Amino acid sequence: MTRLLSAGFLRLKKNKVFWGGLILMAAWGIFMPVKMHLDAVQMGYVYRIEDGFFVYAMGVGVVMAVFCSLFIGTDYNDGTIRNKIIVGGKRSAVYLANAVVSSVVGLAMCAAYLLPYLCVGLPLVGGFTVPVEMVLLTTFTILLLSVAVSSVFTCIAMVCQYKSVAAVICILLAFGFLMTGMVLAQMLEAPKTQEVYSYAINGEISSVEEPNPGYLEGTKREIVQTLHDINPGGQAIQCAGMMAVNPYRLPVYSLAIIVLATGAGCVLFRKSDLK
Amino acid sequence: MEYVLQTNGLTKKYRHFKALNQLTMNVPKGAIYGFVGRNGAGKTTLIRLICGLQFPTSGGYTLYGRKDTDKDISKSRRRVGAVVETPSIYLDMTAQDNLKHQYRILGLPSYAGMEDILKLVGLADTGDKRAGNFSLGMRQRLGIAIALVGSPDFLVLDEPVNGLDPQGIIEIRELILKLNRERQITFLVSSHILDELSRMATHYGFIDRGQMVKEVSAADLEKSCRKCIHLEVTDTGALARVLDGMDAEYTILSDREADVYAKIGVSRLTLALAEENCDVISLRERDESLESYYVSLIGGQKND
Repeated sequence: MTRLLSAGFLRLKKNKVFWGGLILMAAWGIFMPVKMHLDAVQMGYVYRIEDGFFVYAMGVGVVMAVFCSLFIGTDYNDGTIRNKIIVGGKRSAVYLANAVVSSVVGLAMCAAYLLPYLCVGLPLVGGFTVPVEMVLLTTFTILLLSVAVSSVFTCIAMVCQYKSVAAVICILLAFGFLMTGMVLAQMLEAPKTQEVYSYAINGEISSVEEPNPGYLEGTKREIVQTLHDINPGGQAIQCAGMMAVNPYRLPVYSLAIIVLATGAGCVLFRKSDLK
Repeated sequence: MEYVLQTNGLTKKYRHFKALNQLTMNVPKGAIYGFVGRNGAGKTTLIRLICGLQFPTSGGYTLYGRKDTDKDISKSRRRVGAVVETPSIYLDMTAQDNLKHQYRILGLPSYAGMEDILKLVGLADTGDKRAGNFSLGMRQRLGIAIALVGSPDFLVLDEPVNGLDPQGIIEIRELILKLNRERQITFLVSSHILDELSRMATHYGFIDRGQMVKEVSAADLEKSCRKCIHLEVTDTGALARVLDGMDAEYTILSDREADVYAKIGVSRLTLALAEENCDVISLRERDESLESYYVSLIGGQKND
């Protein structure tokens, strides 16, 4: 597998999508603190450095969807995946090498945002105001999340042998994760009670606080919260806002996603007929 | 005879379609094995199977003496290079980068010999030109160059001259002959361009509807394709005595049929046979090319 990894990284060095993604993430990492600084100077807003530090969690899924589907899809499109199998490369090794390269790219995309953000943000916006453990835990969660989404998109790109189809599925799925995350977050954030206003005949307005029928309780809330925690889009939303309800569970779910996606992808790839 | 590849009852089904049906073939070491068949006959399917890209539904094959089910089959595969259908090259990379990538896949410690391979296939001067900007012939040669990395003993080429211009066809043919002669590389070349195959193949395998119709060496094929007189007589023993007397080369095909490879006077032969109480039932001149051989073979099968 080291041979295949070495070949994969050699190709990565020449890959435009990889460098494009890195530049995009780095530009985003510079733009965020600069924008915060300008808003603070021009409009008097008060920002903390952590306000934008984890926002990249929302974008890394989409970037990895594009990268994995194009990088791996090219192997099918140009037929070069055959070169690895014909010379005796084991299918599991071919799969895992691609999974490792994608995961490393996922981590690199995160780093491409974080490092410029810190370099520009620390002098412009100032230091962290939240405990360093929280910053480290959230960073670790997002890094693991980037590996998890890379594993899912690697699985799709390796099993689906058509580059364009794989790209469409991966990108739709990346947005699907985020949309689902937003819907579930909205359900979970619904207030427990709501004010009901009533108009009297004499024109007086009175309000009564009543229980919100949309508020989730008990098992239903737990199920939705678990789904929100498992869903990579949900994890991204929670990390971006630093509002994870179960911060220690998220890395465990990411780990489970990595194992399941890689295992399933590996089994399916080993059985598939290559053209 | 030592064989590089032997298949045994190889069958591949795609849902209800049998692409290969109990196919048996033998590729001798050092041969240029021309794999002939019409489109959809099963040539590419067989190549995909032996390259490990697909799995047989039943039957199997041995590659350098190792069965396809052997867990060490990858060791045999390391001795194989292949260009299946289109050349497998990264179009956004240069010829050199494509080769470097293959060197890494094989785990070779350095890029030694890379320039030689590029020179051999005539791509040494392509510089920074990306493979996407190469002509079809150049891409085909780059595909072969990639297959040559790691010095394989067995090269599998699927329709290597398809779509090439006459110059490109000649270049590929010369390359195959050169590699076979100078590096003793065994080739399995699938094609339906018979004239091209006949210029280089040492062995042939004719496939139709997923089945091997016939395997024959080029020498045997040439013999059966030689200009000859095909005779049907009542007694081939008598015919043999007469032909021996005339010092003529012949092959007895059955107790009533024979091929005579000499220019002999028909009246003289008929008279001599009459003296031996042997009647000539029919007599016809045969002048077969690979094409007519193929047509009679596959056409014959089709009519069966």
